[in-house]
Amino acid sequence: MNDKEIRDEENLARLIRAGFNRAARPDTSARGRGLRHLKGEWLAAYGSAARLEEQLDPRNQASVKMSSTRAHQEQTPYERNTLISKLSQHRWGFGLSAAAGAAAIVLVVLLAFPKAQATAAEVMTKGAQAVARLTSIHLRGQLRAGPVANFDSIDPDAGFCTIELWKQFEPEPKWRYEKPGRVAVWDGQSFVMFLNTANIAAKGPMGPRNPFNKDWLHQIANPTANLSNTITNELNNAIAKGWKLSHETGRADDGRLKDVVTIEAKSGRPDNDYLNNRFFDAADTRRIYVFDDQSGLLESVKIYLQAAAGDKLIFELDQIDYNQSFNPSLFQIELPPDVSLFQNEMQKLPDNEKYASMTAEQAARAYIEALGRQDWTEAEKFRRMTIDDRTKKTFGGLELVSIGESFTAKDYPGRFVPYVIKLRSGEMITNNLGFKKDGRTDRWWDDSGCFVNLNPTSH
Amino acid sequence: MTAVIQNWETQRMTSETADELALARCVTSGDEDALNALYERYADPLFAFIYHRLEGARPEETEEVWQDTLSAALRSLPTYRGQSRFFTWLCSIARHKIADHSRRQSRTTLNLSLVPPEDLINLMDNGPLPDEIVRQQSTCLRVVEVLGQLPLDYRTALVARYADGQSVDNVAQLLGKSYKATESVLSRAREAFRLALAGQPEVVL
Repeated sequence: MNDKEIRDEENLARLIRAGFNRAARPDTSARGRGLRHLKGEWLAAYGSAARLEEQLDPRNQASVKMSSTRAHQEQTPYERNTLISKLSQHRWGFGLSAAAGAAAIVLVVLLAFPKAQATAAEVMTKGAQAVARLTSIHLRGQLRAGPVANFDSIDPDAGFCTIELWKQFEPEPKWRYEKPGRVAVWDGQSFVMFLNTANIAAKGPMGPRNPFNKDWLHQIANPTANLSNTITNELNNAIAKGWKLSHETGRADDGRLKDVVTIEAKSGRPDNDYLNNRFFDAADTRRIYVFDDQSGLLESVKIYLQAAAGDKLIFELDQIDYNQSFNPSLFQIELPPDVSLFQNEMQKLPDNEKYASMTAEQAARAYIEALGRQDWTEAEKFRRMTIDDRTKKTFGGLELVSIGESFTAKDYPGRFVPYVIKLRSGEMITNNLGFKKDGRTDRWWDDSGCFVNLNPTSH
Repeated sequence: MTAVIQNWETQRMTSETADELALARCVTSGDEDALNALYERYADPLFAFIYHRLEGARPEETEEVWQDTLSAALRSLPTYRGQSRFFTWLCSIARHKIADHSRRQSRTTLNLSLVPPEDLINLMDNGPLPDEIVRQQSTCLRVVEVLGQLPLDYRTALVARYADGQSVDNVAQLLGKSYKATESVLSRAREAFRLALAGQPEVVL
């Protein structure tokens, strides 16, 4: 770069800093409010009818579209001036735009769907409105998954482990997510995740959405969303994807009336995909929401995996506390001094090309054989973190039995390599190694956690 | 060569305007992804535009005008015909909202340009830009206008690298691209920024 180019770049940097400095950009909260507000208005103006028309049965489309349009023309102005407009007027209220969005959806559902579906949508809308002004929420439930596995992972064959979420919405979004083997916090500025059994952590300014963007529960951890958005999204998805909605009422032991909404969610994935049933959104599920009839508040959620062998409970949210105050220390994690930190960036090696030119199968073989030889330096060339003592103890000296042909799965940006290994203990493990290619170094790295989580039974 | 670049630039702008019109049409036809894309692309530069126009305003005022502008733009979306760049159209709505707001606040102070924004590129060619020019409202608005019209990945890369001072590695992570690909994006983004800065400003200051 010559003097002029350097000067040009400096000038360019100064101009961009002046025009687009931090103060000239909306912060996370403002951005979230802006989007929620816009979506509420968009749903009222353009959203609902279009999506409903798309998913209606083609045989009925013409007639329903006509009657829906007519009804829309006749009734929408009145509705907009009442329910939606009133909600939208409070656009700065946290979550009210989401509730307004839900109201817009239910309006069209009322016009075009059978009464049971429309009632279910009404209950969901009332639920979204009831939690539109939360200052905090605490959720506690049970999830079938490995205790160390990702928060959005499910494992129908695993036992239940506790999962808990604390989220403060105001004055600024902060959250803590916890399972027995994994805890993550967002303190408003930065993200820390700690896997206590493996003594591994990830930290930094990375966006808090990254680990939790898969399904309905984890969307609550999105700083721009709250429970109202989550309920609205669920309803929105149900309508857009044509999921079956139903409604029942019942009485609790104390005599209070409850509204029960059931949603039959379909993943729409190929039948034999490797990742099927490993995440909420990669599974066909029956989701049961219980709302208090009087207050409209969500009281519990149950999610069943739908399978040919019968439905199986995989998630139960049985404690929901609204508007508690949390100790600020809840959103901090004190990491042990000897923790292994997940590296965001892999470094190029002097002989990087040798590794970059490997196929996934070749890389898996080299990686596993290095573990067998207890050559940790070599094995770490296929990882984004150092190898901890527990991993060394368990997998050191292993024997590679076989490597299979790698394959892909829907939405997974890497490959899976089948392998069979025999541990020093004599235990045989058959599994698939999730391998991703690092963009900077072009090397494969172990993304599956199978050598990290030390929980072979969960794989 | 200059003529070739200008011709290419004209064609590119035309194609981009067509893309923007298509995106707007998708939003009005009920496509939520299109709404998200529109917001992702224009919400930040629109905020910056209003921030600089309302120089000295409280953050809540900026946010209020921003929200009002977004709402008004959404309602008026069917009237967007692609006759100007979408961000230019948004800024014209913002100017009305800013004027309304200023009337309500009885505020009449809007700093006027001291250096024509189209001269910025010539100034850049002649040495380091003086601080007073960099800080001028007209300069900031011109930069925002140019950034608002660049493709989203170009703007994201430039802002992360130069406004936030992030390393190329971090920008690569943000873009989900390799290090090399990101260096290439940055290089193309710098060139696009310079070309757009040299063009005639569409936003009337």
